[in-house]
Amino acid sequence: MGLAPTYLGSVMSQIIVNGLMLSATYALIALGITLIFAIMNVMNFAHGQMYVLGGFMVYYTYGVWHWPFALSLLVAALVVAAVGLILERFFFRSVLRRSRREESTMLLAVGTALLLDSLALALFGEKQRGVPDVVSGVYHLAGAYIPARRLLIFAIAAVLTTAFIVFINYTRPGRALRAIAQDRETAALQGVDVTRYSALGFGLGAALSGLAGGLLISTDAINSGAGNLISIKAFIMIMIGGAGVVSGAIAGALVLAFSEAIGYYFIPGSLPYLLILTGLIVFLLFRPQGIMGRRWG
Amino acid sequence: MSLLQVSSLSKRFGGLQAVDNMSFEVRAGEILSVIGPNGAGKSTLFKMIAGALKPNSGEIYFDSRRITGQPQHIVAQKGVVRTFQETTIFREMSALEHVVIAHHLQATSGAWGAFVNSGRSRREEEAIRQSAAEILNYLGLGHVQNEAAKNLPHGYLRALGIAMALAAKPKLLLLDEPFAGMNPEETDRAIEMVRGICMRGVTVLLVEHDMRAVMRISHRIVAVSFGRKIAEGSPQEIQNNPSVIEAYLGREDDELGI
Amino acid sequence: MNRLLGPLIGLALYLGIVPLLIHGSSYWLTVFINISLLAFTSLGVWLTFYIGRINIAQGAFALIGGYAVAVLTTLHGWPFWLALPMAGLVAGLVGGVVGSTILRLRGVYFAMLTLCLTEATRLLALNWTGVTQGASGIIGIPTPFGGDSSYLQAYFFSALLLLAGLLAIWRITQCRMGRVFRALQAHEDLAASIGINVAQYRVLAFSIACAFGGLGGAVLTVFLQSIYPTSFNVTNSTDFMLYCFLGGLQFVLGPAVGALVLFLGFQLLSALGSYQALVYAILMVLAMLLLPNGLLSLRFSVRQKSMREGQV
Ligand SMILES: Nc1ncnc2c1ncn2[C@@H]1O[C@H](COP(=O)(O)OP(=O)(O)OP(=O)(O)O)[C@@H](O)[C@H]1O
Ligand SMILES: [Mg+2]
Repeated sequence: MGLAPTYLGSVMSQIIVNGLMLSATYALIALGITLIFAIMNVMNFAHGQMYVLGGFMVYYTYGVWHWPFALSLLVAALVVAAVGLILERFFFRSVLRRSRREESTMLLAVGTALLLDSLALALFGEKQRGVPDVVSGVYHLAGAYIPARRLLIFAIAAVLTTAFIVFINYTRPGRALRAIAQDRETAALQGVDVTRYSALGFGLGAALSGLAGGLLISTDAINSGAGNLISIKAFIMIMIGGAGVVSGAIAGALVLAFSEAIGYYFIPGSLPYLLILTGLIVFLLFRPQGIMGRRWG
Repeated sequence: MSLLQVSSLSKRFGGLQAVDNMSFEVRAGEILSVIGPNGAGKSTLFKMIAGALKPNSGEIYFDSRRITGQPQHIVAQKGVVRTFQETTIFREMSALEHVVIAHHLQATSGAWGAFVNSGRSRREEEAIRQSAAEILNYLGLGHVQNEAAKNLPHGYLRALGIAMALAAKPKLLLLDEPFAGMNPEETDRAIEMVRGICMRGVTVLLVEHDMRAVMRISHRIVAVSFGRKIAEGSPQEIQNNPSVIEAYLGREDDELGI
Repeated sequence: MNRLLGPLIGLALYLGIVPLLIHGSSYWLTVFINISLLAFTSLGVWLTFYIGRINIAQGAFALIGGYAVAVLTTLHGWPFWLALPMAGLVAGLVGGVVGSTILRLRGVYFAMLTLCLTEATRLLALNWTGVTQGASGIIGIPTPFGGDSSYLQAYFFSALLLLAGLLAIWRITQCRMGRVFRALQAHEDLAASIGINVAQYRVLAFSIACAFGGLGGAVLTVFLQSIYPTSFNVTNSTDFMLYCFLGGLQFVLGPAVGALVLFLGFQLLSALGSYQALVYAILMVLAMLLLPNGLLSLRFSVRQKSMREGQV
């Protein structure tokens, strides 16, 4: 009660700023996993591992070898996309051809996550890694502090998210991907090369996750075991927003980012996530299809 | 005497009024058919009666007891059992196993007895198997009872659906397009089968597009269009009802055959 | 009788020959104790699959069982033999409550949510310091196995527990309940249409599954004599699931075979040092690609092939 209005105002704007900064990068993660799910009906349990891979690519190229940040982001995206393409080609495609049962692909996705986890551990070690600031300085806006590096990450992520939405809505490959997401068989009948576009979608989805990792390593450190936690965040977002829907991914990213911003501002430690997960279960009780999703099952 | 009473029943899907203020009743012992063009709301009506969908408004009474909005298994317990329009099966299981499972409501021995395989539960199990085999034989499926359902031809699966429903010992049987996809001989046999079921004291409410079959089998008919009841009466009356004819006019295949 | 021969031989081997062979090696006894208990815990995941749900929450229920037994024995002085069933009961009840809400989801949605549940339970254990002591965990849990032969006792106890678990699950699949569960796996709506109370049966199955998790976690905890919020985590939850899948979902023995092969395989790879986990993961993914129906399908396909050839 004794809080001065200006203080309250600055708390509010700090939370809004933090939430917004985070939401753009989270949107990349959620868009990636939702894209893969929409076109292949594969829930990518290795999504967080792809994020970790992207993060470490930036760690080595930018942090260790001092390449330009933009170049190292590009490399991260390409490498993770390549990993995604390889996984699609040699793992998922054959299993999908053999059986359309959800369990088989899910099992494989879990196995892939495990594989990438141990690969990351073998390649990158256990240490927590971060990179030097890309830009320095702090801005002050409406009572909130905005570190310049966070602002930069936000700007890049927001541009990428916008670019993705434009791509998916207004370009030929984007329309093909949407057609596949709607109905594989119909898309094939309309002459869409389903196999090739599925691979493209998988690679693109993986790249988005890798980009998110590459961006966030410059503000939050990363370690090779972080994959599962990021996957859990991705799951939370698409369950909140609704799986397989672009607008749902964005909605989920906003909800999670702001929940984190609010939670971590007021409550220390790991309690916020416990509350977020509990909230998720309660939310799904009332809206099992998520905010934007259609009802399933 | 009326066995089922539907009054002012409505169901909306988003902007679509699938069932609109529908009222009718089913008398004990009769075969009542619901007819109407595709998308008229017949299956939606059935699902609401069977408890698979909750209506937005209106009431359903069965045996003078209110069953509106009750879950499927409760409605089934009370004696209303439906079959599915789309062929719906437990893919990997044998035909016999389907019907054995459908005896679920008949099993009275406790779960623990079944778990430890007590004498009582073994005897009950045996009786259920017997009864399942009988039902399959009655519906002409005896010779394929050990075949996995996924390997059975379409016509057999429709009959299997009815066999399962019968095993649940319904007082009112809801059949959603039981003759769909059957050739004339199969339909003739199936008609006799449904008559036989009715003869055994099961009231039948049926949705069907095959007008020849409907006219032969039904005691009474309710015609619906765009979710609304447009006529009700004997097959004769329905055939000559102007609004029914109008509802079917302009359709490519003039199924009414008038 | 013929059908029982294989399992009986396996059983005799497991109860008689294994301890003889490895007698005195506390390392190998520990390995087999782990295998028995992990297999037992995985049986719960298997049962959840039996109603058509992919369960990645078993780590959570192992953790609940572990904390239940730890708190009851250390703080309240309960004897192990009383605390153990209580741990199963607690896990089963929690599973029932949680299950009655989350079991409405299916497919990958259920799988994702159960994974989140594992993480949520870890966070709960971390933050509910009044009961769990938070990150410092509960240590010095009394063990019922003592003396020179404590490892051997624990080995026999876990082997017998696994046996009882297998027997119970096998009976479930053979009786009416199992039939209903299979119906739920195949088509919930069709099951409901013939009068099966779908919600009640799937909660029942899930509660039993969670009770298995609680019991397994409790015994593992007592064996290790300590528990921390990370004792059973997301990795364990996925492991339990992988044991079931790789062993074979069509077979009650699946989780046991999966746990045996995978856990033993992991131990045998320890010579590879830092590449142990990587090689293990590669082999596992290969097994998934080459044996989509699990290890036990191998035996059956061999038998079917020889039958086919016999007919020619
Ligand atoms: N679950 C649903 N969600 C949205 N709309 C639905 C749903 N079920 C049915 N509908 C719509 O409601 C209308 C009535 O459908 P219903 O299946 O009851 O028709 P019907 O009379 O059985 O048709 P048919 O003869 O083709 O089986 C249709 O327009 C259908 O598209
Ligand atoms: Mg219909």
